[in-house]
Amino acid sequence: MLRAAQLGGGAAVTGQAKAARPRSATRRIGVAAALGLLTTLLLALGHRQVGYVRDEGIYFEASRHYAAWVMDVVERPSRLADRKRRDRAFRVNHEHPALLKLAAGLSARLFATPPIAQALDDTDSVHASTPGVFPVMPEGAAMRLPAQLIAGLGVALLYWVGAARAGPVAGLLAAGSFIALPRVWFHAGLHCFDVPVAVAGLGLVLTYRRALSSPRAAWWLGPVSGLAIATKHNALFAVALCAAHYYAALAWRWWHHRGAIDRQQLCPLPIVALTVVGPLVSLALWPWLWSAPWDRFADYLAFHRAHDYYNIAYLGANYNRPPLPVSYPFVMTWATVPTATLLLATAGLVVGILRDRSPATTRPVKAKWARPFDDHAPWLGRLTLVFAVFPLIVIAWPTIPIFGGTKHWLTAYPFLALACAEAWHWLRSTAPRRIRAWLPAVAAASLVPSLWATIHGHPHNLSQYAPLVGGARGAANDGHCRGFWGAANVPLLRALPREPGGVSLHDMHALSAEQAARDGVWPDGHRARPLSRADEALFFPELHMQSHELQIWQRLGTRRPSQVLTLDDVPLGVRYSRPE
Amino acid sequence: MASRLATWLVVALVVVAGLEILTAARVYGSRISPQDWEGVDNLIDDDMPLWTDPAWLRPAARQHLTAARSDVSVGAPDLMGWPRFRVLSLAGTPAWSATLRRELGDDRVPQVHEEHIVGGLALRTYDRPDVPIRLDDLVAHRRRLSPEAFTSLRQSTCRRHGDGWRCGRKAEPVATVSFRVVEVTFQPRHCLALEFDQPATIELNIADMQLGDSLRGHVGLADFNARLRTDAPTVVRLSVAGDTVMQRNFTDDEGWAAFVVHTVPQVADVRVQIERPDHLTWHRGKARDRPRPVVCFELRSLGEARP
Repeated sequence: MLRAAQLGGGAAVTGQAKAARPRSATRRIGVAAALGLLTTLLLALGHRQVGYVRDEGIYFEASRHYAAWVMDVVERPSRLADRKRRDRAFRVNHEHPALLKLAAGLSARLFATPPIAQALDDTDSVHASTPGVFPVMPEGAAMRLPAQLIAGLGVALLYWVGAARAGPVAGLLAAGSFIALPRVWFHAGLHCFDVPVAVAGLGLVLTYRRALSSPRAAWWLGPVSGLAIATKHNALFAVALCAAHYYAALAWRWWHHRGAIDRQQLCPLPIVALTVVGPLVSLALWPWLWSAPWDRFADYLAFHRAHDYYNIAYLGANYNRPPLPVSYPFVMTWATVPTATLLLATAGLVVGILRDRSPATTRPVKAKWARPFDDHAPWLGRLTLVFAVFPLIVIAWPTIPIFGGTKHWLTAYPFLALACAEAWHWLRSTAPRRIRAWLPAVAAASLVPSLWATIHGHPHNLSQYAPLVGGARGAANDGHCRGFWGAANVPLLRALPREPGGVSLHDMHALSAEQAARDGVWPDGHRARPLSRADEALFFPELHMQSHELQIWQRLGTRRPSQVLTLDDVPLGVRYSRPE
Repeated sequence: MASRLATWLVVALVVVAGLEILTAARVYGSRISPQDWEGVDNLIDDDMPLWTDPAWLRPAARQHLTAARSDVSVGAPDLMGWPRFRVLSLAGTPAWSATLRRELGDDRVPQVHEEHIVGGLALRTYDRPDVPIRLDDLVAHRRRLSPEAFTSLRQSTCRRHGDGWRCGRKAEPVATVSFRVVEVTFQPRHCLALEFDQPATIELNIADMQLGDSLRGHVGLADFNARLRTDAPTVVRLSVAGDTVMQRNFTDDEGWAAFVVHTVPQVADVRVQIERPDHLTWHRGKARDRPRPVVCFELRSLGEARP
């Protein structure tokens, strides 16, 4: 009877456990979705104060062209095959894939209010003044929305993976260790590709991990990798690294179990998905390539290989040709990511490697083409390490062009966040009992520096630095980049005098100014003008731009700024006015 | 073992996070108020040079302080030649810095004559009673200067054009010469800016210059892009009373390069020749012609004060 009771009790417990699992999974998904939506909402509202940065202006214009083409094709499907029309639309900014720009343009067609003012002709279909289907936000905000949704998706993914690994605190730690970083928060709200490709890369790797032992995930891997490649070229590295991981694990297994490699493992479904299906999906999502796929793809790679060098201030020196110091991405990561997060992530990466299951330790099972690695994926710790470190190594490579600042290795940060969750998991299971009760507080404390930096730095988080560097002030003393891109422009534009006149934009792109005009941020009556014909001049201080400020002094006849926009007393933007 | 490691990690996290939180409380936030600027402005009522350090504070200093906008404050070649000068810096920072030491040209830290802490700002007046003072300089002779230009083919006169001179014919310009503020090594410098249209030598004859113990000057190439490319050197020759006292090549990676020539106290004619021997620049492995390098040149005589 006892045994029956035990069995019954056991069966009842098992049944309860089984019922609890779907409920906890549902709860996890619910919390993840809520966090994701909250992130998107905060970005959408908060980034109204963030000026349109340099590259965004070009992407806004491209988005309008791409969306106009889509509307054209919807109206007349035969135009899909009209090469000239298609190329004319997608020629704008063809050095980056089209996916995000398409999404942004369509988002504007759905949600944008009519432009308030514009300098360009508004009678063409590209720059039309008709409102969106549900006009609830300015055009620029509507175009930023897809990237903000993807950032929210990234937060949701990180929470979901972290919570599945080690509970809700791990999930919050993973999500917070990514999105609460000042630079991530800043870029997450822009109509740019850096955070979207970081999230897409995360999605690709998570799907790949699962695909090694799950046929369903393997079938999804193709579309997911295609979406990632169609977001930004960084995903091409991710595909190559995943393939390298697979074959390295396979080679290791062959080394330890001679003859234990099945032919079906040599080119299994995950690899086909990454290398064949993914590129085909990305091709389908980039109409510019349709006319001449090989030639145009080669041009795309060549553009980035021979990228112009940007100016980077680092430790008081200005670099505009390679090599950057090898230390640059590592020091700048420390300078912009709080050390508590880095410490936790480092611990998580080490733990991940120590816990790695060797591909040689599993019993040799007959592999299937759609499921090459039995019931678990090997070397996941190493995989996370590679993705956390590789983007920094690329930027540190001496022959790499100087692409710019911290955004170029944001793809590493989701994996640092995953490592934070892994560290938490290890602490929770290994720390002495008397310490475990304090772990949630420790986790919260490790997120406070990031949250503080980001909340305080908003909307100027492109100029924000971690506490131990001294924030913006410390970074200015150390001679690091101030802002880049003319981002800190909204307060300067809003303070322009009422009398209409010419404004010299300095590093603010004319297309960004155009978008500001369309959205009513640019004051009425003012026009962008060369410095020789301007009455007002904006200046965004960077080391290599000092000569521009002197030109302003000479042309406007004054050395006295009429406005200095600061973050913790450090100038981010200066406005000069011609004296009466 | 693992348990101990976990304990150490928790301790490390608490310490690091705690340190970062305390540091964030200290570094995040503005420390300078409009009243601070007003307070500093009220303390300055003369035309002593005002140096602002760190450099990033200068836009705000120029916005609020008249003294920060003067020629001598904005574009001073260095801090030599001033027996007394002011430095505006952040309260709580060291009184002297490597930047100031470079501008001073030597390692001797001057005495603090006066110090005022006004909120987040510190205004210090420094004394250098033992340094030679500025007796004369190129700028003082600007009205009487009459540059001449020499190319391989001909000699050209330089005609007055606004505040400066244009050398060469309209169809074949040689150079534009003017006194203005240019950027050299990311700092504004008030100097004689020589903008060369072709390889040439510009000659300046400074009549009756008051000389002291030394002639001190600087040569620099304006605009960081010009310096990042490998350009031909600038050759500078100095003569005092007909005798050559200096001939030196200045390359574009020397920044704001100082030179000193010892002289005898006297009134004498000083001749300066500034030559750009060719117009080529080397960029990404190729040599090509490049337009209009701008050489920034300044010259002062230093010595004991006259009774």
